Amino acid sequence: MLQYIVPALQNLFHVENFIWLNLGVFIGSVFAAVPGLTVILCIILFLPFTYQMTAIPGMMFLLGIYCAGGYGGSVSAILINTPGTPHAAATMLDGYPMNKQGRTKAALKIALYASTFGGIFSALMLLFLAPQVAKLAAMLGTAEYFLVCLFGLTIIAGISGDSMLKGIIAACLGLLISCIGSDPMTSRARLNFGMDRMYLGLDLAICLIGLFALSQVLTKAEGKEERMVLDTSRIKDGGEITKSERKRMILPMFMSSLIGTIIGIIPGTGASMASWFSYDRVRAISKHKEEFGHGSVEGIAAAESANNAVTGATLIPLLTLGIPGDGCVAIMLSALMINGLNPGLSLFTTQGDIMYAIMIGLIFVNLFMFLQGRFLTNLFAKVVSVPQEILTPIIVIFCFAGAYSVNKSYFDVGVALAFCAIAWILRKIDFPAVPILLGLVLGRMTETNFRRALQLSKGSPSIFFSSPFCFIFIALTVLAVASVLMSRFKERRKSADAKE
Amino acid sequence: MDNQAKRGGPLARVDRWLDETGAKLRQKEMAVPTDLLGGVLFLIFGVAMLFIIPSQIEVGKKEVVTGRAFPNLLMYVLIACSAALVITQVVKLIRHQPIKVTKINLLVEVRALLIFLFMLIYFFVCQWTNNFAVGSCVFALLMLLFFRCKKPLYYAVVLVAAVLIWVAFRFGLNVNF
Repeated sequence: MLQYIVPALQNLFHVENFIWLNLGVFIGSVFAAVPGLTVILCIILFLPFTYQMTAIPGMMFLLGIYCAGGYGGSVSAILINTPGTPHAAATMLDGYPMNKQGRTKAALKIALYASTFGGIFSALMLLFLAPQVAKLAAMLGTAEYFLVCLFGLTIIAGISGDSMLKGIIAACLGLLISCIGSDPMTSRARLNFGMDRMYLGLDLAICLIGLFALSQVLTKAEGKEERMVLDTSRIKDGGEITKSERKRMILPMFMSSLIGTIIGIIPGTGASMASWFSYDRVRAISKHKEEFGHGSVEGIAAAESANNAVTGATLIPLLTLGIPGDGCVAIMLSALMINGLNPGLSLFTTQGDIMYAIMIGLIFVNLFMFLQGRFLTNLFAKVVSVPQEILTPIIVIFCFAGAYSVNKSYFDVGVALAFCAIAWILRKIDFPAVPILLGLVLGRMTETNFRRALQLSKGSPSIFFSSPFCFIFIALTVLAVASVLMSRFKERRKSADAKE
Repeated sequence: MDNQAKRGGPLARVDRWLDETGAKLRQKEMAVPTDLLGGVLFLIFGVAMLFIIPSQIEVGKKEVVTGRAFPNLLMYVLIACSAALVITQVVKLIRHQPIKVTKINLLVEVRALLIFLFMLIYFFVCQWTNNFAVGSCVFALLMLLFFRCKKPLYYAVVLVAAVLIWVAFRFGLNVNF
C-alpha cells in the first residue's frame, strides 16, 4: 500500500482536481439543500460532464457531489423542518427544535462537524479495508462472481419498494435492458431491433437521465410545490457550542460513524437506514434521553455522522467486487469503467496510483465540505428558496444537454424520453426503479460470469456449488431473502394487529 | 359579479377556463389495482419477449451457452415472479381480502402528459432547427406557461439560464448542437 501513496499524492495534488472537487461539493450541497432535488438526480445530471475528464478529476467531482449531498440535506432539515434528502429526516428531529430555540447556527455547525467526522472516518476505513477486501475478491472465480452479483441484486431488489417480487421483476428488466447491444462473448448484435446505433448498447447515463431525472420532472404534475421561503437574516446566533456539548458529541459521532460504515458496506442499505439506526442506538445509551426530539446535540451528531459515514463504506464493495452499495455509487461505477478502471484487485495494484489518489481524495472532499459548510451555509440556505418554476425547466434543459452530449446524437435524447415514459408507468403501478439501475449496472458482469462459469463446466450448473465461497454467497443470498421476507411478514402482522 | 368576470381580458378568460377544467378533472379519480395490473403487464411482456428473443438473438451451433441463455433465464424469472404476483392478488380477491389499489387522479395524469408533450416538442424543435438553444427557449417558455407564471423576471432568468447551458456545453465541452 505504502508504495502507492507517494505517486497517488502526486496524481492528486493538481489544481484541476481541487477545482472539480470543490465544484462537486458546492453543487452537491446546493442540490441536497433543495427539498425535491436528490443527490442521485444531481449525479445523473452531471455524469456526462465526467465523460470528458480523466478518472481522478471525474471521481473527485462525483464524490464531492455524493459526500456534500450527505451534509446538504441537513441544511433544509434544520432550517425549514423539511429534509433536503431522505437520510436527513433523522437530523430534522433535533435540528429543527434547536433552530426554534434560536440556535440555528449551532445546529448547522454540529451537523457539519458530525458529517465531516463521519465522512473522514469512512474514508479512512475505505483506505485501509478496501485493499484487503480486494485481495479476498481476487480469490473468487467466475461462478463465485456470478453469485456475488446475484446477492447484490437480490438484496437491493428485496429492500427497494414494498414487495420483493416487484423488486426482482424490476431487476430482471434492468438486466434485460443491459443485454441490448452486442453479445459480450461473441460480439453478435442482440436485441437491437434492426437499429445499428444500438450495437454498442444503451449508455447508462442516458438511461438514468430518463429513469430518474426526467421522470422526476413529471412528478411536478402532482401539484405545484409551495415555495419554501427562508429568511437567512433571521439566523442571528453566534453558533457557539459549549465545551460540555462538544464532549457529549464525541461518543455519538464515533459510534454512529462505525454503525454507518458497517451499514454502508452492506449493499442496498444506504444512508437513511444508517442515520435512523444510529439515532436509535445513541438515544438508547444516552444519559440525556429526554432531550431527544427537543434539540439534542447527540441526536444531530448521531444522525449526521452516520449518514456521511456511509459514503466511503459504499465504495468498498464497489471498488473490490463491483457491487454498488447504493444507487449513487452505482452511477459512479460507470465513470470509473469509462476510464478503464474495472473493480477488483488490479485496481489496487496495477492502477494503485490512481485508486489511492481517489481514496485519499475522499478525505480532502470531506475537508473541503467542512470549509464550504463553514463559510457558505447561508448561500446554501438561500437556494432552498429558489422557486420550482425556475428549477424545473433548467433541470430538463440540463438533462437534454447531458443526454445529447454523451454521443452527440438526438437518438440518445429520444432514448432518455422513452426511459422517462417507462419510469412514469412503473411509478403508476408502484414498481421501484432502483433495481432497474442495479440491473443496468451489473448486467454485463452478471451475464459474462454466468456464461463463463457454465462454459467451464460444459453447461453443468453444479459449478455454482463447487467451492466454499459459492456456498457462502448462496447462504448470504438465502439469508438476505429470508430476513427481508421475515421483516415484511412482521410488518404485516403488526399492521393487522393494529387494525384489530 | 359573473358579468364582471366575463368582462376580463383574453388572459383572464384563459385562466378561468383552466381553473374550471382543472376543477372538473380533479374530481375524476380511478382506482387502479397496481399489483394485479403490474403483474399482468409484466407477464405479457415476459411471454412476448420469449417469442421475440429467438428472432433478435442469433446463435451459433457449437456454443455451449448461447447469447439467448441469459435473456431467456431472466424472462423465466420475470414470468415466475409476475405470475406469483398475479396469483396472490387473485387469491386475495377470491377470499374477499383487500388488494393493493392506488387512486389515480385525472388532473395529475393530464398535467404529467402535458409536461411529457412539452418534452417531445422540445426534442422535435431541437432536431428540426438543429439548434439546442432555440429548443431550450421554447421549452422554457412552455414550462413557465404550464406553471402559469406571471412574473417577467422568472421568464428572463430561465431564458438566460437556457442560453447559458447551451453556451457551457457548446464552448466549454465542445458539444456541437
